[in-house]
Amino acid sequence: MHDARTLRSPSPRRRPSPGRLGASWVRPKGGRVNSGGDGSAPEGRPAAGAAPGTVVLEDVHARHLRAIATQGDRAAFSALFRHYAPRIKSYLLTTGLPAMEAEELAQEAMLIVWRKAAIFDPSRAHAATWIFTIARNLRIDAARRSRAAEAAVAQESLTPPEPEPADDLVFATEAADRLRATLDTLPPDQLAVVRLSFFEDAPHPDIARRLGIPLGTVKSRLRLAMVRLRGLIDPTGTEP
Amino acid sequence: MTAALRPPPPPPCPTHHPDADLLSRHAAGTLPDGPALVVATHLDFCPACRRQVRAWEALGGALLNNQRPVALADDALERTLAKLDGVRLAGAPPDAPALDPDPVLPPTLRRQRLGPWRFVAPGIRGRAVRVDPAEGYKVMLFRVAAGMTIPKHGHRGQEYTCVIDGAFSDTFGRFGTGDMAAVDASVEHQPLAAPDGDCLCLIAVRGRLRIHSLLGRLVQPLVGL
Repeated sequence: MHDARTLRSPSPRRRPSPGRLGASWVRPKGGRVNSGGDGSAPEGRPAAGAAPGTVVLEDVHARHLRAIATQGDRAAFSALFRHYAPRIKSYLLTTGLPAMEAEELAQEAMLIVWRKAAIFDPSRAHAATWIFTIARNLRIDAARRSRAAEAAVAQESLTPPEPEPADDLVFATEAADRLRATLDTLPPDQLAVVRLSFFEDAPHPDIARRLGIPLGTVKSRLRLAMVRLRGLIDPTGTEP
Repeated sequence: MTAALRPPPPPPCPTHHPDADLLSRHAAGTLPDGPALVVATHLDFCPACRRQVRAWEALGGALLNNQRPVALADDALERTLAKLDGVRLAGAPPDAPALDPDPVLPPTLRRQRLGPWRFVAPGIRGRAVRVDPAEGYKVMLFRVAAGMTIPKHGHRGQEYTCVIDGAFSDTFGRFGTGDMAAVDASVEHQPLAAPDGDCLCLIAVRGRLRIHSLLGRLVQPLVGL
């Protein structure tokens, strides 16, 4: 699915990050981020198959969730299922789950969407973000179970807390819009590297092997992509 | 200890934060349990980092939307629909129950399984925090008496710390309530609890601490780190 660029991304801002830990997929080695000669991010690349917009799609999904919450609307649920279940399964496969388990967890994630639709708040997060966090938490729990860890370990506790009233919620949804718009402008090869890095935290050599590209290419693609994405996520910088 | 006598503290405003790498991995759900718990504890104190985690989650949502769909079994929707009846909740589910009553602990930690306070060394007490041992991290809650020095130590692996109450200082500066530190194997430090009150902190370490002082060598078997 290709989302339309209905929003213009602001120019990415660079932030040096003198972190105290070594390996990082968001922090290129050497500190400098944008000094390479190949910094020609394809700003104006047209979004393939641009249709009338994901912002609208988001609204539709949010309305579906509301219909589930207020009326137990099964048609709305079916529509969400058709869109998200195959993508959740795809995401879970990306993280390395076997197909059978990915299938089961994708269905389980959609059950949770049904169950928790009432707590979805469109002013706090987009439907896709909310559903991603559900799938992510399921995956964490599944990994824990498969390691035969104690079943009763608190599950929700290791996942980020719900936003609080004091939090800047507008920032989060605006950042989401800008991120999506920017993702649509990333070349597919950069997107593939970002996906593996973020979803799987895969080491760079693994990514190189799986995509069949040289290690240096992985690093340069990731650097190009992250320069743009980080500027949207953390425009001010709060590091030590 | 003297909590009842202290004036209500101002809301903590952490100045030492996890870096973008930790925050993004937390949002992606790829951090091991130990560091994930320390980052989650910091998030309880830090609106700025919560905001960034939300943004990284938004990246996750956008990437999810961009995933190439993989077909489910033909009857997947049908079977899921069949399970829907009776599971819809009318409102927000109750919060996960707090397992520990200590009011000084942030919500994340109160939902953890904590062992009893144990003597570790003169001036140092500790509680084990139960996390999945398969991920290689040990997590402890330490209470260090005011002015105590934690023996100079290095690490085989990374060490993640979040201050919950009080403060300590080391070569990287002063760490107060909500502040988080992440140091890697190359770092050797000797944290000093602030003189004006006990320092309560959560620490996750990978591998064993390497402690150099005599006290440290005595402490190590007791701490179990």
